[in-house]
Amino acid sequence: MAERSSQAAIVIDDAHVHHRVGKSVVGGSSGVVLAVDGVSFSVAPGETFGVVGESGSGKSTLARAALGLIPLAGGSITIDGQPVTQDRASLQRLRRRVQMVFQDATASLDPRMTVGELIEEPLIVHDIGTRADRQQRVVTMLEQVGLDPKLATRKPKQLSGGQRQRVGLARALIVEPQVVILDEPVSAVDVSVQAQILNLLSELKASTGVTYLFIVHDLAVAEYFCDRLVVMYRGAVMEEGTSADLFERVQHPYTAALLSAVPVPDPSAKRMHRWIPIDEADAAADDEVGAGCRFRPRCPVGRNDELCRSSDPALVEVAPGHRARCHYPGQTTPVSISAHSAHPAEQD
Amino acid sequence: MSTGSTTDDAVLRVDDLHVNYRSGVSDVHAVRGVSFAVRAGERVGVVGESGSGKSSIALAMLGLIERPSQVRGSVRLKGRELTGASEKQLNAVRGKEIGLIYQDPMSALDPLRPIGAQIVEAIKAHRRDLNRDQLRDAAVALLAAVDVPNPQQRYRDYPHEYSGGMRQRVAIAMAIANDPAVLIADEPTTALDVTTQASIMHLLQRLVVEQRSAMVLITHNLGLVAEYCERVMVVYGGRIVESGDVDRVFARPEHPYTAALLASVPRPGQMSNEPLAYIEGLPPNLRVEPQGCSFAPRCTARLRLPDPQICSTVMPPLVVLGEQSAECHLAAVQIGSRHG
Repeated sequence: MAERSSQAAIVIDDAHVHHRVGKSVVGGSSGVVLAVDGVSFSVAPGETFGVVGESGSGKSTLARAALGLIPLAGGSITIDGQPVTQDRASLQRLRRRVQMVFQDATASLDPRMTVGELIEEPLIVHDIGTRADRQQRVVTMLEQVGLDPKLATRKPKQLSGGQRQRVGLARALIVEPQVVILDEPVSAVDVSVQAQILNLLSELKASTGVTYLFIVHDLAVAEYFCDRLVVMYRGAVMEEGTSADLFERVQHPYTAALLSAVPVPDPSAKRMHRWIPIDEADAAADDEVGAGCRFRPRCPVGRNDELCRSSDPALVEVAPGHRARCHYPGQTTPVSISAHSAHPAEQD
Repeated sequence: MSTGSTTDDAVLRVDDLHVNYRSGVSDVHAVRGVSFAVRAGERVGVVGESGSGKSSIALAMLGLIERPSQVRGSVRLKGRELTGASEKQLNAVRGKEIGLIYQDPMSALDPLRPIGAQIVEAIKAHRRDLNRDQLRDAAVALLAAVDVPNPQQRYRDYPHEYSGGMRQRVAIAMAIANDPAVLIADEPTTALDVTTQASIMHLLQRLVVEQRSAMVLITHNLGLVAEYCERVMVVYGGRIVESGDVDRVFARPEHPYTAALLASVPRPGQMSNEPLAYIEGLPPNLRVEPQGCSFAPRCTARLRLPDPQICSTVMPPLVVLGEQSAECHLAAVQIGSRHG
């Protein structure tokens, strides 16, 4: 895994992030949560790479680690050839190459600053250009993200949600980064605005050649927008492949369950997909994972399987470029059925 | 409450409903003359973007819009008029004839009391005839009905000991405790993961079918409506701009807003080099009364009309086509020409 191609825009190699947890109010034991538990993948320049997962999957923690906002407990993250460390000077250099766009544009914009000041700020932080240069770049940037330059004198609260998200994008792109981490950039906006932002992201990628690391929970958006993606579950990559691999040739039972749960706004399509119910995430079930697969307690395939109970599968290639972390890739029915099932499965 | 005479099978009938929020110098006219009927056992989706007025319709139906804001029009549940009813009269209906599920289950739960006691209270509010043991048994049975594992044990647990999905199941148990004729679910799965959303929606669907309740699902998610509802109402600018059979409306929307909304969601297999359709401009300002159609300023389809100006000057007619109807000048012309 450690092969560091100078070509890659992002190389994540066996990254680990631990969250220390105190004693919980319900009397659980204190300890360490493996928020990111040995994640590896690499992203080519100009690629749009998706990290998909439900809450608690570690996808946002991974994004923060890639920005150097959280230290790694093990492994490494390299961006554009430069390792992400906690060293202040190198972080400052890194932040010119990697920018982040947040889900909640409102919370990430200082309400007292004008739109123009907000977009100029990253240039000042990185000491780029003269005042006149910077102002010119702000105007160009506003046009690039589809905002009227006249809005430069407005405050964030005078803008719509979609416009604020465009300001967030402009702030990220004005320092001409190699990599932009998009953390759920469209999950807080209405669908009609979502379409505008996604179109804009596509245009900006085409004109700048930027690499996107796209953190997303909406699978329809992920399929549409990403070239390749990983599906994370409880800190680990469960499946990796191209959009077509994951959406048309799915291998992991978790990915399959995830896809089957997405409601499709097309009545003719809904009859074609069959929902695969899985139990709700349950802390007690997670505790009994032990040496086995972390998805086993909820898995429709291996829940009662001895192999899944006793050994944690490795992420292995099932087809060129398509990897799955499963003892029974491609399987959709239970591999062994025990006499009793503790979980009353819901009937479709 | 006056008893109206309803000869049809509508369990809920809303007529010319208006909601005016008092705020600042001018009112926000959030709901602008909405009329619809829900048949017994029917599952209806109310879909709209933020600020469309969809949640205000739900609040008005339950008498939850407080003064000085105003509700006008009529909401009749099994023939009984709810608008203008006293708080006492409404309390006899809420939770008994009409159940409500919110987006955040914690708004229906007291964090300081065990789950079981709260479900017992929901049952007791309308069932004075049950003794303690019967109430407890009924609450445990409800927990089992919403697929909470180990209901006997979980009965004693507090809300914080439940996951988000399990809390929403408890909120559903409380809402269905008295077999309501109508269940109103306002964005019930928006805060949940997609796998949990699917199991909650399947549960809701199963329960309303078993209880023969009607369900009004208020959501921004077109997919949920397509999968779990039989009929859809599309809300824009405080009005129902299109309604009808879900399969029919999604396959052949008559209103340009419905069509644009559907086109802005990525389709399976659509690639990112194929741009998404989107809606230019901003939602209407609900402080201002529109001259014509409130979607006109954002509508590109109206340019297909010989006189597109009509859309911003004259209120569009309601065009009815079998089970489908739309408020649109263009639809009127198109349907007219299709049917000679």
